[in-house]
Amino acid sequence: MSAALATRRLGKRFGRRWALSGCTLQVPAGRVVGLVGSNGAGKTTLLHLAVGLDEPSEGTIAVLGEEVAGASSQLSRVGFVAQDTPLYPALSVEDHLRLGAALNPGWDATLARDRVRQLALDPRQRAGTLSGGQRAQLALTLATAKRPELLVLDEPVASLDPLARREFLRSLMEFTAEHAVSVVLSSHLIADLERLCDYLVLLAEGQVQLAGDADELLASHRRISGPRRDSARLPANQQVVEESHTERQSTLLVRTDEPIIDPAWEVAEVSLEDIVLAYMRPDARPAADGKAPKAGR
Amino acid sequence: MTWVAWRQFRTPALVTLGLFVAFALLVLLTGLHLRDVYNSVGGAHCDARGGCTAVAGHDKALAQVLQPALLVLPALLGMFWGAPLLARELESGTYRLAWTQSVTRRRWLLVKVALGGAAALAVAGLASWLVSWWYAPLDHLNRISLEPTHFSERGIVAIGYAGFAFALGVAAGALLRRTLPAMIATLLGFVATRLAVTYLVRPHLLAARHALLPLTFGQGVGLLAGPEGITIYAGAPTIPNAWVLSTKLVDHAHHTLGSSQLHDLLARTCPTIAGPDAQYGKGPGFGGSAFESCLHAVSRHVQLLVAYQPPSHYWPLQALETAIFLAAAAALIGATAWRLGRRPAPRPAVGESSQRAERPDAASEPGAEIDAPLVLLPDERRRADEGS
Repeated sequence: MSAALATRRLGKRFGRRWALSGCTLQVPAGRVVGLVGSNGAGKTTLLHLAVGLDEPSEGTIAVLGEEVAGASSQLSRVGFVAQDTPLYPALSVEDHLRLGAALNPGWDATLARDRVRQLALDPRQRAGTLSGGQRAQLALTLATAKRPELLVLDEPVASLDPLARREFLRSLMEFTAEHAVSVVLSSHLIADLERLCDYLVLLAEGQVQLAGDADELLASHRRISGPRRDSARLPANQQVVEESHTERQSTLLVRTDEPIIDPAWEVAEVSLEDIVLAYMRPDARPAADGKAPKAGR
Repeated sequence: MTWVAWRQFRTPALVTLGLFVAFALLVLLTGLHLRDVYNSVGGAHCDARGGCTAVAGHDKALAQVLQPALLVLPALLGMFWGAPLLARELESGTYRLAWTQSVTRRRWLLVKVALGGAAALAVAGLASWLVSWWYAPLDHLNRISLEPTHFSERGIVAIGYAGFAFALGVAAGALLRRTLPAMIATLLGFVATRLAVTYLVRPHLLAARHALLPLTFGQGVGLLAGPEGITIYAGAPTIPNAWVLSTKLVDHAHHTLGSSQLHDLLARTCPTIAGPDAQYGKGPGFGGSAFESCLHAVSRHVQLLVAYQPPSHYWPLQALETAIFLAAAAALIGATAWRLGRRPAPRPAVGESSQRAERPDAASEPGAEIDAPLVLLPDERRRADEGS
């Protein structure tokens, strides 16, 4: 099975600013991928490149084994829910469904109708008068009724209240459970991703800082604390991600594939959020499979 | 895609249709009445003093509204139909919805442009036909159909103007990505192009005719006090339904006469008018009959050389100018579609990505990548060979 998303030295420049650079990434198909990173880290840029809204300044990007080229056959395989879920305010819910049906050869009218009924949306209501949660749900309906092989969502829940957010994510989970679909979902709310995603990609300052299976990430990271010690003197197979020292004590977040046997350390498991936050720190060392060197700093 | 294009165009189309029906009714009813007046005074054989004035003065207020109506209509179509076509999608972010369906951007653009453009051409054509019909009696009397003010507001040129203004609006929207600036740019660009074509291009589209006319008393010929003394001045003569481009006073060898030569000639031929003792506007030589006989004497040496577009050039000029504007419209749409479509990604040479020392901190502008340009990538010029 080809990768859902594969990039090679991908870069995107806006004017003089590189929103994304040297981004090499392989995301397996059939996964729910969480794309995290702070604002301005390049998440939207990467997703726009993936759905063909944007063109790379350098490097290549392929979705579902096919280089992104904006062809109709490829567009029909990828569903996209853009940030702030844009809809046509003057068009009704029904109009949006007709629009989806008119623009997509693989349109699943039954799925779309059922979803609208389930959400209790009035088909004649204009999209401009829908609540934020309803708008997001309608945008998700459009993207899913297209029956894509890859569903890309850019911060779909960022502006929703907690209840609407939960409803939206439940809809998304239902869809992924029922249909064989790969999902790439960006968010800066790590808690949401933790429940939903089984693969994680972390962007920082336009580069991939971390990418990997969520379970593997959890298994390979440990927080260790003990008497103060220089982190350079750790065994070679323990990679320090984050360290903090007090006068007498050191606390380290390390990545290792082997058990930590030093009895001086107190070893604790970490959450995905801990890992993400550690890698998001500006001084963090990248660990995208240990292969992405950080350029030009 | 056709349904989508129509659904998005429906509201502006219906608003325009409503306004247009009201406009057409007004023109038809008053136009029929104008014809009654025209026929009642004998049509083209009207009495120049009484009857013709009645026709010319009829509905003067409406006549003054109809004339500029056709002047502004193409600009309005460009501003309200053309400019928002892309700019509104880019401005409101809905392009992210529209362009991630299964239809390529080029097809999306071309279907929308075909629908809006065809409607713009139809509206302009009908409006121009209505106005031309309304004015027909007056034009018959005035016989100035090739004058710039009349030429642009009759016949078929408005179709070309509307197509061009619409395409200009679409292109401006793609470039500026905001509706209001795109509308303003469309207006300014359209007015500038219209003026430039009218005064710089149209006179040269077809070779002008030349005619030698005698100096005739009462035909715009007069005296002028210049720095060299009193000389003859010749205004544009009246040639029915022609457009006089330039007039020159020449001798029998067709050499242009300068004002000092004219003064010398005048002083020799009519010393009472232009002799060393004569003063401009004073003395016995300035009476009507004295001037007339002087002019008669001078006209043996001086003729009026007129360059003009003859009435027979009316329809060829209309067709040429329409074609020019429609070709410009097609070029604008083609350029916009080309820029909008995807081009294959440039492949970096090995090691190229390491020479980016100038890269500023990518995280300095939170969220800024959302507003960054998506369509216009000046450094990427290769064409896509995209599928259907």
